[in-house]
Amino acid sequence: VNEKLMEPVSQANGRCDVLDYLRHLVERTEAYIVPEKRKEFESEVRLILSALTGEQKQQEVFERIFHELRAPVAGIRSTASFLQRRIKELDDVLIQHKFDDILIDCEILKGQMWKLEHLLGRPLPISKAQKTIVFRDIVVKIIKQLRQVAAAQGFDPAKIEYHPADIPRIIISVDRAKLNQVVYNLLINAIKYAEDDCKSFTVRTMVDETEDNYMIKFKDWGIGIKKGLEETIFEDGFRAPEAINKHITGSGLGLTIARKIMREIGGDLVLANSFKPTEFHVVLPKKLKEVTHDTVR
Amino acid sequence: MILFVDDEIRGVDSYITELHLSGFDVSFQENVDEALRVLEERIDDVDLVILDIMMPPALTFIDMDTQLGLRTGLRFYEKIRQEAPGLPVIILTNVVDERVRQTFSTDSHCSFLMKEECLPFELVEVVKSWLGSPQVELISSLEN
Repeated sequence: VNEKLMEPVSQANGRCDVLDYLRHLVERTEAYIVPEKRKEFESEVRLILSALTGEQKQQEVFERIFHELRAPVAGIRSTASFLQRRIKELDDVLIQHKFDDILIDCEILKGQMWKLEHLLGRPLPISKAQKTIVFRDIVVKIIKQLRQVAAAQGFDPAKIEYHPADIPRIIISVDRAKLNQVVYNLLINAIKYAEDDCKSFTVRTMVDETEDNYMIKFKDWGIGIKKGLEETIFEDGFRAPEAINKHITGSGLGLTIARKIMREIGGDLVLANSFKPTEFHVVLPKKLKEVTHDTVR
Repeated sequence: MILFVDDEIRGVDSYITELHLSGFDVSFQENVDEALRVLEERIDDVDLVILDIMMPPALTFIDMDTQLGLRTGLRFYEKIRQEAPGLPVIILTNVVDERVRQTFSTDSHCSFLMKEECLPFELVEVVKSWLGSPQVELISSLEN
């Protein structure tokens, strides 16, 4: 029996992957255990497996999060230092570009801090709700900021489209920082996960209205979301292989947080279409909930 | 020429601009397949490589152990050493895993720098310690 159990280890020529070994162990052990004990043994090993997988996954998520925390800090420091030393030699456009970079890094940093709070099981920070003209105060501002991120990736920044004339004037009282984070996460994803072919790059933002809700629609023609993963993408730490291959950094928490925020304020975030276009709807109830820490908990 | 390999231009833009302003010729590559092609085809032109660690594995390293991209730079570094054992390499990363740093500790042609601790002018100083000062400052190149 021992010989049989150790087979996968020797087959691997000493390079024993613990998870693989345990998986083999489950398969092989079943044949040698009396039937009434089998179930108990199997569940015990599966528990070990899930714990191991969980730990590995957790480490990976933490490494990605801390990497993403350091990245904007490093960005802010290096850009500020660069400006401090070189500002007299730079033209106005480049100076503006560098200041925009710092603002984007601040936004990223804020998002990462929220992800950490989320992982630690704490409620998201709440600021006072304030009267907000959604498109003017949030969507358009973020689009303007992110156009240069798109340009840096070789995309035409004008292809992040919105048509002010078609957009109703939505005025709500909302925690602006939070809604900002939702819109930011959706738009940065649309840029990060665009197809390599620059010609296909398009991100389109529009608004629809029902009796109870406004719906801000974000459409992009990027790599999309595979069938079967439509809900998984909202789970903690989930990142599709094609997303990792496209963009290695990312904690897999952006959409989780965005949905959490929307549900907290009585709205929702839904995936309406998964491919060409990928379409997310931010559902904003016309009457938003007043959120306090008590209701969040 | 400096071959600068990093998957996120935004995070290293100030380093690249500072290198340009200091007179260095930089070839920035955000895709490791393309970076490897440059390294192999223009090995005689490459004086130094600046390399990130966490990058998408792309086609070259897709079947290798990169820990889902968390360590792609290590595999790229091995390729550099196969091609050019004495080529100066600067690892410029946000990865703090001590085991990663240890990987390079015995390589006398390699410097390990953390992005959050290294300002653009400090990177230039390290580059100069390897390559010396370039003769001409290319400030005008940025005005275009």
